[in-house]
Amino acid sequence: MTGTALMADGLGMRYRGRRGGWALRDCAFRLPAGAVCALVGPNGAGKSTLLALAAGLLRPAEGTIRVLGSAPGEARARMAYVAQDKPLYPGLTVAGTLWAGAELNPGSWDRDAAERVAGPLPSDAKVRELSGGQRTRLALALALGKRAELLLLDEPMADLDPLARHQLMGVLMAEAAEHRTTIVMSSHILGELEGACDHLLLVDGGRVRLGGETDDLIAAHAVLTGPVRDLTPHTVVESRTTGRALTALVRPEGPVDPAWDRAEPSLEELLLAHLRSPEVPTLLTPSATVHEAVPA
Amino acid sequence: MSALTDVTPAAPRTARPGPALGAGARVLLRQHRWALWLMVALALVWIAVVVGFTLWAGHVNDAFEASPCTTTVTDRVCDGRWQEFDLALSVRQKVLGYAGLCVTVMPGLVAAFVAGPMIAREFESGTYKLSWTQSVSPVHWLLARLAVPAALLVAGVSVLSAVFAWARARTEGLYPVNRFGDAAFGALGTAPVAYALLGLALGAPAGLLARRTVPATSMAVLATAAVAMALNRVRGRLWPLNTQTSTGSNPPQTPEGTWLVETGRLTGGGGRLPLDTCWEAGSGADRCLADRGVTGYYVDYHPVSHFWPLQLTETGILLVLAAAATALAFRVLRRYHA
Repeated sequence: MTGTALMADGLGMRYRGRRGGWALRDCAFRLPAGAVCALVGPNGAGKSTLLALAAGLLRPAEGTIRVLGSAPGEARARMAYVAQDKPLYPGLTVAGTLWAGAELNPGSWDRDAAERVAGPLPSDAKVRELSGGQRTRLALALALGKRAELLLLDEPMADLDPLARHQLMGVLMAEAAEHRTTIVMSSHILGELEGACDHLLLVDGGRVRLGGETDDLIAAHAVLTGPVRDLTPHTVVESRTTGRALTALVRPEGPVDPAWDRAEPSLEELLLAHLRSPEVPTLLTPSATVHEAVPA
Repeated sequence: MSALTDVTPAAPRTARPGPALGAGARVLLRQHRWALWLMVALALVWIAVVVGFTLWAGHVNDAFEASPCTTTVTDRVCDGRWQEFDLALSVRQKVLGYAGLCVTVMPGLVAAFVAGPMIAREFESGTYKLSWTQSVSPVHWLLARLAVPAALLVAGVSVLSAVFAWARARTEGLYPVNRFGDAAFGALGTAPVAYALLGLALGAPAGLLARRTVPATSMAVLATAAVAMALNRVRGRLWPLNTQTSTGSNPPQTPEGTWLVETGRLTGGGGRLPLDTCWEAGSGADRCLADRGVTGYYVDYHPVSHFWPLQLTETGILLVLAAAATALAFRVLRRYHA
């Protein structure tokens, strides 16, 4: 496990004309190859911007982003990207779209993989006649047919019914397991991704708040319940006092006072606590840290 | 070691061949299949009309010349033939005028199509995100959008220009179509191909800058029309003019088919005055002219032999502008993507 699928350093992006606000700022993280990563955050957090930068559709305003060890533009053939609005050529049929995918990705096109996903679609139907869910399926078929080393999927499951979601998630996971494909999936609904992803990237307000293996991130936090007392030296993410009892989600620094009950937070608790407390410093696990020397 | 690491790592896929330009071109042609068929159909209709009317008028002309009738003989039979002859030739002149006009406005349509449906609509509908994340780089994407129409236009418009030249050459005599006329000059020789390429080249930056179909289309059409109108205005000065002068009360006679760019009055000292000098003097015109020392006329004109120098000069200017617009398009494209 040595490769790096995605690495950002000092990455920032601002859109012209939007009151000069930063959509993304000071982003630094690393995603190891082979990870299945959930990119979560509220609407407008910068998830789509981050994915578009990685896909080489946008040029960063500052900092760098490296994809599969090279600039995004040079990794074009080795990654696949599905945008949030699932753009497809409206005048082409389903079969025509897959044909275009094969034409534009020679040398890597996997017809079977594409057909497996697009199978239930009427192959003579024009793209403009497809429903939202069908378009998503076709867009994913194109992405999987490309047999990419990195899949960047922006809200891939949003338009799908639960059955199709379950099936396509299964296809994606099989892809990841079989070909060691790195997958980055964004969503503002954590439930869509929980259980499928082993890595997590929480983006909020244009910043990366949490990054790394899901298990390690959870293990780095604790829910403490007990008497109201000073919580130093622990980093407090969120704390609530009800009567004489205190409930706090902290990052333990050193041993925890045995007067408190210690429990592991759920992923959802962890994310919500961070979203409610924007001032809490960023936490990246060692594998997600950019300047960490990664042992070969 | 996690279970994932036990899987054989993916073979290094560094040796992926990039798609050739042909792949992008084939996908582009399929995307805009209907536009292509429409363009071919319109070109065929145009050719059919031009060739049809030219052959018909030629036939009527031959029949009239073979008959004992001439333009001066008047009797019942000849009046009918004369009317038919006159009608055929005047209709041919009108049809060729409109046909030339069609070729003259065609670059505007090319610009509109390239800027709007071909480029800006990809941004408007977001499909550029699809196009740019296949194995084709954005530069290739734009290159296909320039190279494919360019090849089609060079081939297609050359045919139109050749057909028009063939038809125009048959209009000598009554109701001629002057090769220097506004509509004819732009439909003859190399100019129409160069204008079409300019429309194409201006469409690209317009589409990339505006990124929305309607503004992109308008920008491209306006830019193309502005260049066409500017060149139309200065066309006469693109090659040194010939000058003839005359003394007396009649302007000099120039050979048939020439282009009179400017006619005016000449003074004894060689000075030039506008043609309407002393027109306001009415019956006192002769005196007025004498007072100003006017001794004759001058005519600045292009003889038929200047046709090709003028064509090639204009073509050169257009191609330079087209190259500049293309360079601008690639610059704009580079500013956007990584």
